[in-house]
Amino acid sequence: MSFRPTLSKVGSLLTPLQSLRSYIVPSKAKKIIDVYNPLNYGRKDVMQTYKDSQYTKLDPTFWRRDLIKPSERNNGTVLRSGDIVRVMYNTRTIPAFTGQIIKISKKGLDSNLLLRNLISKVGVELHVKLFNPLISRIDVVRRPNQYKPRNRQYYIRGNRLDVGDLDASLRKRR
Amino acid sequence: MLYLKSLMKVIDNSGAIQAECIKVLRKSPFNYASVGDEIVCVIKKAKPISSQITGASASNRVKKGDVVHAVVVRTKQPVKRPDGTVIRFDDNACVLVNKNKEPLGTRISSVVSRELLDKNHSKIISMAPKAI
Repeated sequence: MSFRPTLSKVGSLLTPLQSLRSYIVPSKAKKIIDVYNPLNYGRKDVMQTYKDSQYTKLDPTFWRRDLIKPSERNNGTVLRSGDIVRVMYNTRTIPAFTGQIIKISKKGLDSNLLLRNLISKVGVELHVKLFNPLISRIDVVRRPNQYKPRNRQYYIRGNRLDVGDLDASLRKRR
Repeated sequence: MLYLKSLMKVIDNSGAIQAECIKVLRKSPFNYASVGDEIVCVIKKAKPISSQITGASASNRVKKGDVVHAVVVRTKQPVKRPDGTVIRFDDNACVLVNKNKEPLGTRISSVVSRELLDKNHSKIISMAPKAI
């Protein structure tokens, strides 16, 4: 029994050197390739299915999604640049952070807020991932009477429009 | 992102106001100092020495032109944390330390970053009014 591989039409036209290279070493081991059933996603996109599973895992009560997306649950009130929010964490090692929203980026599971505050006369900025499982709560502490233009308010840094010491001003209010 | 010739604030009561980095310690030559890294710096600006101050703080006082070690506590360059949050301060600041990594001053005037805790500078954190 010869082990010459069957050449295709294209292969037969090639030079003898090519056929030498495709010589197969005989072996008794049978190669079995595992074949799985097709993933039953229905008509849905694979990425969408993955994102949905992540949403149910990270945000089962919809409170994170309701912060940035208008719905019946929040009566259309969502976070806006200019709101002052407090971010609370599950763990004691991470202290809560209060800050004014400068930017909201709505990128699904990657959505994040940029908070700015003035602590001991030093400006501090914190990017907070909305779907971070360490975050337990995001409370709106205060909303401004009049919103500034633009979603990305980088222009307020270091001039008269800049945020003040929010922790002190909130304490004074009480 | 601090390297040779970077100027930064000094936020302790050692008498220094501004320092200039001359060496980033224990890093590759092309690297830069971030929060929690140790540097060698020159004091560029300092408060005038007055005879009223006595005790331990007087002996730890620095003058203009002194070469001292320091730990970076705040950076303008955004620093990423393991949980995905990113922190950024409006200025670069450091705290002067001796060769045993103990702070020279007895007081820290403003906020520091919590990355110092991971790099074993817990004494600086406990002295600071707030750690974020």
